[in-house]
Amino acid sequence: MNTWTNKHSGSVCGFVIALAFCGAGTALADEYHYTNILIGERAAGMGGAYTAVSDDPSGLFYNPAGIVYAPSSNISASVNAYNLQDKNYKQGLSGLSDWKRKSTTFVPNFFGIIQPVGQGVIGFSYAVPDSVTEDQDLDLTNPASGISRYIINFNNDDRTYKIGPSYARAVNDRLSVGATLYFHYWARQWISNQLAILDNGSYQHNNTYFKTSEYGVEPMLGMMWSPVDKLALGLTASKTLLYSSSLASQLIVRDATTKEIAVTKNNSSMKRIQPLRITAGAAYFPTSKLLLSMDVSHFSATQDATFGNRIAVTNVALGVEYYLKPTLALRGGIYTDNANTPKLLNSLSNQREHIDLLGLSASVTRFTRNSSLTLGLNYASGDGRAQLVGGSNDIQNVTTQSLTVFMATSYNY
Amino acid sequence: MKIRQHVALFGLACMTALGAAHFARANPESFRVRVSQETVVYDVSKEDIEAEITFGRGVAARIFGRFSRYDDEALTRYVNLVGRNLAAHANRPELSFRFVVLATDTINAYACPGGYIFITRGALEQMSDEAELAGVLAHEIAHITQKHIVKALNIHGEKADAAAGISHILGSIADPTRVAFSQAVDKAVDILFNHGLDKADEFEADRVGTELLVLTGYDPHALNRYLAKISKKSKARETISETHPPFPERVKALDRLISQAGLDNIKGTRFKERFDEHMD
Amino acid sequence: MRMLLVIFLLGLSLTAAAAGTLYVQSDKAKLSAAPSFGAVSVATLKKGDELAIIQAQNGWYRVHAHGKTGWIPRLLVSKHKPISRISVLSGEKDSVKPTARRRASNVTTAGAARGLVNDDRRRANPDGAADYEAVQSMESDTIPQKDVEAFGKTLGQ
Repeated sequence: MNTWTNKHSGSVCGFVIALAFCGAGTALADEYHYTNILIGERAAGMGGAYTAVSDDPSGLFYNPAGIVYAPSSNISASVNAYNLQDKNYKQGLSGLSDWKRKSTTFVPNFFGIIQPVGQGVIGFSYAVPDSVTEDQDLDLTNPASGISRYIINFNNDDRTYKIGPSYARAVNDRLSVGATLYFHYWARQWISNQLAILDNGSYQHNNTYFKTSEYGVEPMLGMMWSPVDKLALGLTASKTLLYSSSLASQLIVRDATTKEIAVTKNNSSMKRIQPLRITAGAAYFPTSKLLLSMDVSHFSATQDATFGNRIAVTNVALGVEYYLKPTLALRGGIYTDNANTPKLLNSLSNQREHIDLLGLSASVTRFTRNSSLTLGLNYASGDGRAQLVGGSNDIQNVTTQSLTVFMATSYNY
Repeated sequence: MKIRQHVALFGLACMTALGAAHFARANPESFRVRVSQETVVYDVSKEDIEAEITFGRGVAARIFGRFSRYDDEALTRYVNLVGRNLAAHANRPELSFRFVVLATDTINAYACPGGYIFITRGALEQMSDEAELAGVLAHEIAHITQKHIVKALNIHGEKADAAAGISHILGSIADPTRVAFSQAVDKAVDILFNHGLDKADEFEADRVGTELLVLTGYDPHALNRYLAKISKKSKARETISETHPPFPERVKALDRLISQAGLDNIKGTRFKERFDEHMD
Repeated sequence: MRMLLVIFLLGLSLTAAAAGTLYVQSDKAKLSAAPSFGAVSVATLKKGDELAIIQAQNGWYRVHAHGKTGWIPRLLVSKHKPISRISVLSGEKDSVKPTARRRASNVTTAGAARGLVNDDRRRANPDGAADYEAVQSMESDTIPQKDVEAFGKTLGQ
């Protein structure tokens, strides 16, 4: 979203303007990563390596073909109890050695239901694969030379919703196919309010506001094949097709030098170019207590003049599920969450940050005859590079971490 | 020469892979089942037992569809006395065990969940004393005490509560429970007559059956003796071997059990005379 | 964040289970000194007696009962209290509803054999008829409990 040019290159004004654009180049939310919050009671504990498992309502999200193998009709729901993210820009701007942003959300992030009908199985699910409520409030004294006080209030609400039906059917006793058709809705509201009071008494005030929404559909096709006993192979392909998008922005600047107020508004209906996603998974079920699974996902590169090009991304996830006893299971997983932004080059400015993350997941589940209850954790962290200051070639090292605690439950009938 | 060898090896590898893929019975429905989904793991309710009995009746009815009953009141009563006495020493007092002789020369016995047990006239002809009859009946009773078919097909009752009510509303799209019952009976009949249970289940039934013999007071070698005897009969090999593990394996496993459990020293009765009386 | 980890670990520990309980299912049972059928008897138990599991081994349980410790074979016990005899023969009160079309293929769907309701019992089945009359006749072959017990006594048990 770098459609703004930086008119002010003076260091003081540049400082404030640069910070106004921070959000454009940096994001905690989904834009720059494809794995944000892990979805599903069982999958979230297994690092999301679920394409070849998918034999319960979470399968509606990962690989609908798998729901044919669900042992019974089932309702499942999970709540993202607490998601905490923070980002730390090292050697950042002078006086701002730790530029941190925090996000906390508490959102029901998955609901799914599956039901056999005739020869096949139908399902319906709702997923919030990404949700961020960012908040930053700083009031700094003498953060940089020439500036006596700096205040920023920043809020960013960014949420992606998927909701829709699925249908799957067995082709023969070891092959099944399925499809999910999600309605896709992305909404984001980004507000940044900055005030810099200069040593000479003058002040700069920037107020920036973006409101974005996009609507589309995301069809997903899946296949599940068991070539030999105890082994399942899954394959899915999906792509979000947008049919409507709107971006409204407003920038108000009260310039410290000219003392003039400028209001700039912009409206756009350009749609973000979406990648094609292909995931291949394998799952090995050696005993009724142990399950091992692995997923490899590939997202295609996209050329997008408006919103920026994205590179191709490959993510890998590994998961394990083990039953300590028939009513108690432990799950663990490890997964990559690589950035889809190009790697930063020292010769350019206004580049988007690039941070590759590595995640770990763990959960414990208690079973009763008809239901299960899960409590779990996801922890992801990574470091990368960013350009915090617009118009500058300076690159900062940045580290980020995200912790999610989730609760989930399923009921079968 | 080297290329030909490589091609041959590659071809062999392909055929092996294809062969393995074809013959390995990949049944996702069974290998995906996790331990928490096996019903018998949870506390048993009255509804579960009622479901087991209702289901067992359905399977028993199908067995009567294939064979007719051997009409000998005295013999039937005798077999029931032996069988019910055995069952009284086991852990399923909530079931009424019932035994019937089938009018066929084939050598076999069948146990349906809920306590409906069948033994063929052909099997009875092969026995030499009451202990051997008790051995076969004990093996079948063991299938029921260990809930082999109930576990394999996940037979359980419905809970009558609000959540079940919701599930009925949701489930009324298609009536899955009705379809499920007849499909489950089909599967049970398939297990009894075609594919058989898992080998592990059969070995367990042999083992538990022999334990039951001892607890009731019979000669612990009786089942083993009977298996060794009929393994020599080709008629038995045909029918029983389709659905059970090979006789030599079973006999060997029981020999091992008997020596390990120190059962060699236990005397136990055979009651040959009483058996012969009823078999006339 | 630390608070969350504490809550998580607490949840983890709450799910840990206690040791199990067994109940004697047979009319009488011997509590043995060792896990073997010829072993000396430590106590005589009766149906319904509660046993605390100490150890499980080879088809035997080491248990604590009536202040004594001993072994009992798994065949005589169960994790639930003995249930009195159950009968499903209380009349054909379930109405017979039209059945769903039967699937002929071997393909199994999710949901085979879940909670069962009484089905249309008289439905003819292509794979072989179902003869419920014969089952009913099998069920009506009753033998008085005392006759079975008398028979059992002849085996010296």
